[in-house]
Amino acid sequence: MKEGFRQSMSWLHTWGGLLLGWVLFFVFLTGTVGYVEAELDRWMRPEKPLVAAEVAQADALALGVAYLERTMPQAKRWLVGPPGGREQPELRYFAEAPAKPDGARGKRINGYLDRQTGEKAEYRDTGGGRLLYRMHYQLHYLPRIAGEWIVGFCTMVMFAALVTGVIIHARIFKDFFTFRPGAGHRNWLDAHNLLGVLSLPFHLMITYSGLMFLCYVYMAPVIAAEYGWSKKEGRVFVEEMFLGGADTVPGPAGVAAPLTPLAPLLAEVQHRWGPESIRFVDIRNPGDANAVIIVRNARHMPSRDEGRLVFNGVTGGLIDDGGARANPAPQVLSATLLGLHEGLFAGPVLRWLYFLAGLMGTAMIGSGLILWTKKRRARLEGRFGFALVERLNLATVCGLPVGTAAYLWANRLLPVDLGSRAAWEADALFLAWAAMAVHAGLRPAARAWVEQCGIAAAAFGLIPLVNALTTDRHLGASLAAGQWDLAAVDLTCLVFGLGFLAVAWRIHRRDRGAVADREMPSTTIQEAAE
Amino acid sequence: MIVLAFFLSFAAWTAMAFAMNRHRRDMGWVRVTPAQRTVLRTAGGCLLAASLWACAGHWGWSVGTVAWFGVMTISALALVLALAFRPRARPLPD
Amino acid sequence: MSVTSRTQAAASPLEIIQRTVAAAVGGYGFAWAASVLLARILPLTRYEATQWAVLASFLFYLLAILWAFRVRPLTRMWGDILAPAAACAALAWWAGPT
Repeated sequence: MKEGFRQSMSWLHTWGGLLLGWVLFFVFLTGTVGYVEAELDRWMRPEKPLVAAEVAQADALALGVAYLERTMPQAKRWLVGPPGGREQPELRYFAEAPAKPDGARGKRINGYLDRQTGEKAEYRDTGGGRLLYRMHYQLHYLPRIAGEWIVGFCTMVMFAALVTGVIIHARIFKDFFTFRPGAGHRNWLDAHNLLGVLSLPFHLMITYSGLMFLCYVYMAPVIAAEYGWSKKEGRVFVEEMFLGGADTVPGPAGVAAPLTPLAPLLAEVQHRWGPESIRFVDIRNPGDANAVIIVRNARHMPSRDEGRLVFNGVTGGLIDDGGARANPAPQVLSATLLGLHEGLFAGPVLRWLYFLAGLMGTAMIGSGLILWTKKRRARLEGRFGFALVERLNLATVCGLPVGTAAYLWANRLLPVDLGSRAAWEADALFLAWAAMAVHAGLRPAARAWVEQCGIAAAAFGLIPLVNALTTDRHLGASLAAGQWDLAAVDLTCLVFGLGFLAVAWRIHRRDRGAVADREMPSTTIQEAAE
Repeated sequence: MIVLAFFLSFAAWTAMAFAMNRHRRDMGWVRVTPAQRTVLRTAGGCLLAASLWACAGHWGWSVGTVAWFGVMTISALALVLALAFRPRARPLPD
Repeated sequence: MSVTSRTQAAASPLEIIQRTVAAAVGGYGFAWAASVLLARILPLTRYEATQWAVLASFLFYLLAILWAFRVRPLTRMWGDILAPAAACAALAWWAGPT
């Protein structure tokens, strides 16, 4: 019976993985790239100063609040994020106007400020890394809800694929270090297995925690069964969730009251948390008697709930310092899972490890897709379904990375004053991807792989050059100024370019018979494991 | 400390790998005896624990545990590549 | 498309559709019923119990998905998904809201 169970799980793993593998590849790749959104954001706004001026957070915050006082004195919410650390390298603002009389949400504004003058900073209009991160869970060109549900569905299948993958991997310990480079599809099987097993804790964590982000949407019926099915009743759940940390801020009283001066408040915060540790200051109902000031600190711990101080906005007195609150265990677990997924607490070294794990996951999916065709070539070659899968594999595994590179190319090449520039950059990603898909459809399969890897090599490898030709934030400048975050983008693109070049070269030589490559007859997973 | 954690983990995986006959065969060594296997695996386990200790020493226990998984991954990957692509005197057994 | 193996006949498209529906929809139903039952059994505050239930719901869902594709005659497969779901739902209803 064990054999039957393994075989049926194998079927589920193979077909679930194949049919959704292309979408999952997109999700994993945009997630991995989106993880470094801060670095990409900076690279994609070359107007930012090369070396950021050192400005005390308190001063930057004062400038930010002053700007918002001038720009939106009547507001429901002001939010200022001072520069501090990699996650928040710029002085950012966000504000929301009070709700309109008809109940519609008030106007929202956000942007960057020059940290020394407090004036609005003009950078080129770009989605930056943040747009890629958003595509990771919302896809693109789709209504947000549709994208989120599709990604949620695919994540559930990913979860099943991971677990079934472990179940069917008969020799998971024996094969732990096994990689047999060489002919046939065994090296692809080994690669797929290794990429999965060696970072299995990461994959399981990232998948399960991914589901957690929208779990209240996906599992709304569970909440409804306990709290009731109406929207109002559902909100009670949210209130109870935050009861410990009352994010429930009262609405405006309608009575004007001057906002308490920030300086002593920030001094108190810095006294508790240490200098330069503020992530943002969130002012609700500014200028009103019910003003509340929430301060959050930079993330050091995986859990998302840490580090929050709430002050009365008129008197400046501390309302809540999070100390008395003991978060219930499931909330801590949930917040930790989300924090682990976002990985924002990670320092430089750990960030690279996260990035590597993301790449491994992406490659695990890609290698799985390719493995499917390798194993079935002898049996299915010539059939339409097989050809379709092969072309889709190529278009995705090579085409999407090229699209990502095209996004960066567009950032540099599109005119700065072009209207809807950010949207055009995203379009460039998908246009390039579509072009690669067309190429994959038209060219003979073997040649197409070499050509697309070559295109990918050029697309990535030339980015530092394009950068140097269009801006003065090129590698020479960033390395000379010791701006490693900036240089890392160019250098990583260079490494990817070289990687694709090596792959293209290897396939090319193999096709010309320089390296003997016998295609193994297709086998079942059991035979491969024998 | 990070580098130490990496090398401890790498050593641990190496010990685990050479408790397996297939990797010993690749190196041209004799088969492992049960006693050797026990010693190697225990040593490997201890070295992994030491690696966790080193991670915690650098990052603290909560972040360090997360980092430990990453260190284990990258050191295992390094070992796999070293085993697969090392220069060898005899052809890879099929 | 077929479930091929040396020990069983290839699966028909109808079987595949049935298993997929059983997994996706039936599985969701089982996850919902089991989670609500869990929430009502747990001796915690309503919020905590519901939060645990939501956390666990995806594991229940996964279990049902795997179960739907086990090697079994189809009717037994449907029974394996729907019966526990109905049982959990009945028990949850009997337990009443937290």
